[in-house]
Amino acid sequence: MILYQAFVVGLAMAFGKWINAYGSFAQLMPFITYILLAILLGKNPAQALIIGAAVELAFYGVMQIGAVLPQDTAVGGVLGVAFALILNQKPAVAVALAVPISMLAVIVWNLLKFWFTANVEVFEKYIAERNSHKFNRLWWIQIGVYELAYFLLAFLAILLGTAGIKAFVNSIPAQFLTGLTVAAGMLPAVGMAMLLKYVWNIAFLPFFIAGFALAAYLQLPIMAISIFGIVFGLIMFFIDRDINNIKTDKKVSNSKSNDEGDFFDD
Amino acid sequence: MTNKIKFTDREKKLTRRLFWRNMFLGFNMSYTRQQGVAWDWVHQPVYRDIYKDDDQYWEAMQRNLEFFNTTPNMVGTVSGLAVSMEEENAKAPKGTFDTAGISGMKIGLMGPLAGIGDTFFSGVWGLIIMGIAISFAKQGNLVVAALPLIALIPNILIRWYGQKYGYKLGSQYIQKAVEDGVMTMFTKASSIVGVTVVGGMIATLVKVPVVFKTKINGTVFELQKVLDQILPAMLPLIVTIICFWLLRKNVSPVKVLIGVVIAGFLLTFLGITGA
Repeated sequence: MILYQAFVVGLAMAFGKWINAYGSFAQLMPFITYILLAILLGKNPAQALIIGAAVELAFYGVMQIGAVLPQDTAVGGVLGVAFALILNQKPAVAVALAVPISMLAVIVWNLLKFWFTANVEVFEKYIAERNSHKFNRLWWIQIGVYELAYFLLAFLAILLGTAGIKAFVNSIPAQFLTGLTVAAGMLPAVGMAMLLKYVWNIAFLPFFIAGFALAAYLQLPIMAISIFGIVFGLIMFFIDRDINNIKTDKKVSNSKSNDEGDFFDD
Repeated sequence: MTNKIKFTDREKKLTRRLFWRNMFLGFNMSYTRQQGVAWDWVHQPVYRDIYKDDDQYWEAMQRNLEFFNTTPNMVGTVSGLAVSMEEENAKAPKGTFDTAGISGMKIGLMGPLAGIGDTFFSGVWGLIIMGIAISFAKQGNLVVAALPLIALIPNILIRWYGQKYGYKLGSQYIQKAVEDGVMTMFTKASSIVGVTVVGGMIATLVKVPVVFKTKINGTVFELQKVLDQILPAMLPLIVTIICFWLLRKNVSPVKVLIGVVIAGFLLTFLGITGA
């Protein structure tokens, strides 16, 4: 039983990491992985979604910007949801496991990337040798190792960790779980702050206040706030375009008058 | 402009192949070249098709192993442009086409495109889609499974049309867009959408539930109600601003994260917050 569970969680993890890289699809569809996980484990997919929502909320806003990966949300999410499903635990437990796991799992990616970096030289050598076959072989070996590494990570975590985590979860006092739920509710603040830091410009303050007020006072849903955001963005875009046109017009007329000056000087 | 673009059968096959292979750009990243090796693997059959001469083919492979890094979803434009330039190189008599132009174009475009791509995909689109997905998933609604069908539309469109126009229109159009400031204007507009949505998300998604209650002169004093009268979602806003301020002071995200967890526990143990 546990062997089968470990195996399918490994498969779900491999799938999750595949769409992480393939076409950058994962950013938009982690819930697909959770549904797959629930079906493979023979659990209720709706329950997996509820647990997954709590986990994704804690990761909300934490996204790979540039080449920096602050947390491996795919690994944390799959393992957190898997443990909660297998042990029939509350969403808060999934969050408690997912967050630290996601932070630790970055090590695996760093190790893999280190190996890929060492292999760049080998790729260079194959090109110098004009060997397409070896070039492609190493390419697919790397992808295979990448997939296998995450499969094994999940497989071993479930196989060896479930008993320990069960004992750990059962020993958690009730008040600790409440604290955990509160902390999980506060966590999206970190993701929001990270996104703000990435795009922030003091000139955007009015739009920030508007978005906040629309939600806090008018209780508008996300979709409605997004539409208002698009309206603000478009207004600024057209204003900027007009300013830009005036600037270029000025440049053109300046250069024209210079031409005329030259003409009269001649 | 659209109806002017006509593709021959060979070009159709080539662009379709390039489109699917470009999905692999995110694999096997390295610290030194980032997506450089992936770029070579992606373009391999296309270069083979362009360069009938073996020397030129391997020269192109060697040249393109250079550093490359952009938002994978934005690669279409650069890829299309680069392939059209390689074709010019293949047609030109040996030694007359300066291949440094190809590298220059790649390096010149990957930065601005990543700026737009990260802002749009991570900051705006990903945020909105995940916000909607989470609100469905919370209720255990399986509709979430169909959401990627909508979520992936911009991803696919930008990849496909970016590549198509990059390939056919040539570098001067894209470079003109960068120089005219259209790109910066678009990034700014996307950032405004992002900032507005983040403002809204703070009020709806960040939760600091206060349960503190006490009796003063016989009347019940509920802290949460008082706070709501001053400003709804005041505490979520304050927590986010503190995190933002710390991040701007270059405190590492991991430390801020741990700090928030500790704060959540402390407030609960003190009886101020609760579930």
